[in-house]
Amino acid sequence: MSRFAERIRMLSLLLSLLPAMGVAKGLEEPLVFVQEPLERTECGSRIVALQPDGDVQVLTQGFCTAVEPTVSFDGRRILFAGKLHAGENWDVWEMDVDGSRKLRVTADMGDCREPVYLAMAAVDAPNFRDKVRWIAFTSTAPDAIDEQGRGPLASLYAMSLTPVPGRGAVVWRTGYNLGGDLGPTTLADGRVLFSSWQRQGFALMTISWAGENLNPFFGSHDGATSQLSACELPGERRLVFVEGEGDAADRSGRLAQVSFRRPLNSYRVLSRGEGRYRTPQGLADGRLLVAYARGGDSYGIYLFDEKKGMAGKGIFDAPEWHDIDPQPVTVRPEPIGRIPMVEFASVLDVGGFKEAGQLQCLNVYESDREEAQRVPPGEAKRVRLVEGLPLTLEEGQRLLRKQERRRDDGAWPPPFVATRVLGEAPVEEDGSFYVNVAGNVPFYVEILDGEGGVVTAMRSWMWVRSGDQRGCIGCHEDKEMAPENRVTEGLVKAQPTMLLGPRRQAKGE
Amino acid sequence: MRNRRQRSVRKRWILLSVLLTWGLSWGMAGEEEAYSPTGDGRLDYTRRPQYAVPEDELYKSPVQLLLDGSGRRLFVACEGTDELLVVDTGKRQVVGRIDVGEEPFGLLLSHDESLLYVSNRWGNDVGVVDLERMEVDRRIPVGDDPHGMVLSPDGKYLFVTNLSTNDLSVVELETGVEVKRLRMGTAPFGIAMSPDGGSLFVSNQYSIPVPFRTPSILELTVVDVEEQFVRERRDLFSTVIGQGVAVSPDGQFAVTALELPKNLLPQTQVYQGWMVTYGFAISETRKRGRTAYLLIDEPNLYFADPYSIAFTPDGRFLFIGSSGVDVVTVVDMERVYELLEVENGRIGISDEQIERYARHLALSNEYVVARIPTGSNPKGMVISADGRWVYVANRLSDDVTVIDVRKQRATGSIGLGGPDVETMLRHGAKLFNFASISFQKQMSCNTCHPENSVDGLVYDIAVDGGMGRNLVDNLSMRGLAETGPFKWTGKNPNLQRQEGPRAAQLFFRTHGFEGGENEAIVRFLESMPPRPNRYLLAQEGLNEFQEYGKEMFERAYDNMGQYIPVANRCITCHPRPYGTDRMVHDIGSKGDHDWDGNFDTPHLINVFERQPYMHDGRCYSLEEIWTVFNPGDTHGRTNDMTKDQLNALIEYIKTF
Repeated sequence: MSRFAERIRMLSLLLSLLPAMGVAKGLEEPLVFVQEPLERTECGSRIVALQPDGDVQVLTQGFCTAVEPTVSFDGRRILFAGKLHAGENWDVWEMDVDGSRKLRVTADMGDCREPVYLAMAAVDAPNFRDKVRWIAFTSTAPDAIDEQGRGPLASLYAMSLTPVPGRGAVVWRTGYNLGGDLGPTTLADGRVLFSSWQRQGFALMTISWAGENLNPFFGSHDGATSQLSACELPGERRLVFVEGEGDAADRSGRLAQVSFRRPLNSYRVLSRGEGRYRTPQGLADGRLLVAYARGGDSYGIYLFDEKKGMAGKGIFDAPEWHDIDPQPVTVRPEPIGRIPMVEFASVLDVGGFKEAGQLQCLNVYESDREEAQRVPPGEAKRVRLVEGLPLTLEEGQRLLRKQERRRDDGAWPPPFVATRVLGEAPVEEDGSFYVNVAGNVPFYVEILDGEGGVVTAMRSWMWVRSGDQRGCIGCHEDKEMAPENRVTEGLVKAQPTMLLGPRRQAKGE
Repeated sequence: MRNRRQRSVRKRWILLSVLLTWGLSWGMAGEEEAYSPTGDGRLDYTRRPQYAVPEDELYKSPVQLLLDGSGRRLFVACEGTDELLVVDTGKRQVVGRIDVGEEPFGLLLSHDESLLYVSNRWGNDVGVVDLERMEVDRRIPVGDDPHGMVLSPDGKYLFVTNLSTNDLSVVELETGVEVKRLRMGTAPFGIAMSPDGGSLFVSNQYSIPVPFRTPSILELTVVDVEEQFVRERRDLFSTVIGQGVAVSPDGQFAVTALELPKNLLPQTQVYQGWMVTYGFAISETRKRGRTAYLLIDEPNLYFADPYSIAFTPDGRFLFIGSSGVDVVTVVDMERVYELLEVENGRIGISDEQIERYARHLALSNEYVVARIPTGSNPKGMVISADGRWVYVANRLSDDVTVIDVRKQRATGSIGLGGPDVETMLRHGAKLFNFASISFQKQMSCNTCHPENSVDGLVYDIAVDGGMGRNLVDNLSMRGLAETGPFKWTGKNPNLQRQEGPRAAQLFFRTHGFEGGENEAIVRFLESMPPRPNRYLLAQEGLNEFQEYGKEMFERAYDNMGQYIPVANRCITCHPRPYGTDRMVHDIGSKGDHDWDGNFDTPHLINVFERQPYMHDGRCYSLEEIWTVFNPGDTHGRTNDMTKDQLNALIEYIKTF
């Protein structure tokens, strides 16, 4: 590159850092955010820091691309996803908030994106003394295509940021949804909330950091909207997110919220009027930062005016860039940590069950789905667990190229998933069942009548982590209901039925 | 001759084994603050939890409150210092104090407000305070562990709930004589009178006996005031730990703060109210009235350990203090009545709806109108007669929170004195009542061990064999310092493990107590003495019947003259002072749900107050241990015993 060209490039870089609007008064903490090229290219996105005095600094110089920053709870470090060079996989990196001391965190795990800090946790049974920092992220390490053939399957992972004493770095796959998962965020109570593909769109689900207790948080399994980029405003106990049409591929849409007091029944649209929103983020004082764009404009960073329901005071907008994903650089409360019940921390000690978990359902007749409510008591005789086997990415892409399979949101099982039966177990008179099931395996549940006919079935994937014990109240029961306090016949009468299926070694685990 | 020699050898072996066991027990005893026996082998019942501060600088630990009719004087019962404080509500400061008795609790004014009655939990009496002279005039003996009190409308009779003896004392005040005892449910706690003065409603802390693996049932006992008899025993289904009780000012409903436990479910998770939920029972006061249950929890947050409960004078709002989360919840009763379709004092919704509402975590959004933060561990609560102020006694911060009813927020607090420093034991006491240690604040230690004791429930902890297996009866925290190992399998060698990672992983589903916190809570538990043993208090040594039981306990030959092997004698595994040899044994009690028949030998300290019995709680009573569940004499040789002998044995066991 000639000196002239180099100067032009530097000038362009400097110009691009000049904000189109001044820094808003009242924003006391520095921000980091992403500048994304207006035209989508493999390289070019970068993470910048904006000081309260308006000073702007690029933190990821030398990277082909860098996105999705998240600031540590002590306000000192930043996790992000990046590529040093074009053609590489995405990896998770960590750096100081001034951009120094960059360390690659993941390697050889496909595309690793959207990292977030988790609480400190120990996994060394039985004393659980040596806590280390963990992170969560999405990865395409399973090397599979998602259930609709939209692209590589992204799954949730957890990883120790420093070595676990006696074990080194530990990586656990924590999500086994075959539709793909996006945008994990750590809630104050320690759970990981994320957007999970559920038939026709992304709904919000929660899981423990180690992959236990998968539960819906908000969003329809059958709706044609997606809930994305959620963030918790802990002081106000509400969750704000972007809601887009369909799969909202650019992750933009309107702003909406639900209250933690009643997530399933407190939905409210926050934004009015035109424009698109991305990546909402709460400030410590309860205000909301958003990335906002109107018409064909680039995204800028604004404080959201909740009274007016629209983007309010501008914080930063460089017209040459989409300025998105603002993250305040400040100390935040540590979320609640948790000792896991899975893998080598499991307390489940039944011979031969190291790679299995347990599943109990209290009453298959308890459901908020019409189909299941129509099943008369006594009709359910058996339960069948069906494992989902994703196609490899290569196989899926071959089928797509040959047009032998295509997306079909209404189909179950989905078009890019093979299935096989893990096994069947009895459903007791009181509607309960109790099984030992292969751990870390996606499956769905079918309820059968006396002749083996399917009377109701799940239309999404669930799993039990190895060593975990999972209880369900019903089959897609009303999530606002606590369980009935009773001993089920499934527990009293029988040992759990073994539904282990053939053992396998999933790639990337 | 040979027989005599054999007996002599056997006697020596018995003596040696007893001495060895005693020696082991004594050798393991020791830390300064740990509960320990006196030199004669009997337990030291005089020792009380003083939280390791000098006697002249004790924590006040206020537990109950009472306002006089003018609302100017607030009386505060302080269990830590055995005193009654008088607070000027205008100045918001303490203006008087008086020593009242051992561990004061309940407070009640005479109709003319010249006398104040104070129930003393450890003293087992009611102190009568002359408020003009500020002196205790007399003490009226009542049952064990007296709690709540009310006066008959004519002022002639005092009704006192006795938690430990499961009854209600009826005291004729003129003579100071207890004229009647009425059987209540299990552990009667609170008591409230209907506005017409005709009925008493008594809440009970523990379940009545229920069949194995069935839901617990609290009794709401209804007493006819004039005739002084139990008019009705109403079941509050699948509930436990009923403490505060109040009657609505219109007299139509009795409301009890309580837990709705999930102990029959395998404890696989906390989320979605899987371990325990909290709420209140609202019972029609008419004869055989119906009861509905509503939760005060939310889908992602729980309000652990509801304790006190009070109506505003107009009946519009109900205040419920949750001692585990330091919050008072305000319930709008108009919305509650609407939800329950109440008409003329009758709940209109169906039984199916009642069952559903009892499990509904989000309904609270319909009727909870405020959550008001308090000091640490809110206990007693009182509302001024004009309905303007609510006062809340904060046991572990030694102060009183003042709530403005109209604003529905705290407007200040009244300091009661006490040490400024927080000792390790005091810190441990706070942690014991600290539900924030658990996921979504669903439970504190106190939840399953109310008042450091036990909830009387059997749990399916779901580990070591999977769900539905290895059920375990819950045990009291009192007097356990020297009784390790812990857990029914005896797998946990010390309280550090039990209260640290094990409780965190299996119950709290967080990281639990760590480092200094773990040490503080262990020291607190070790400091906890048992309650005074009523089977010993009124006498020197054992009585004749207990002595006979001791013979049975220690006997080497049965009624047929057959030798009882050492391993099959009571005293072998249950030696004094604690009644445990601290070892695991197989006594043939393995159930269908158990993977193993070896269980840790439980201690016998105050064994009478912690039914049910056996590792899985299969026995309603001590008697059942041997009359029903010892068919093969594998749990000691007992089947030869006469009824009197077995009764004597049990009477002796109660003296540990």
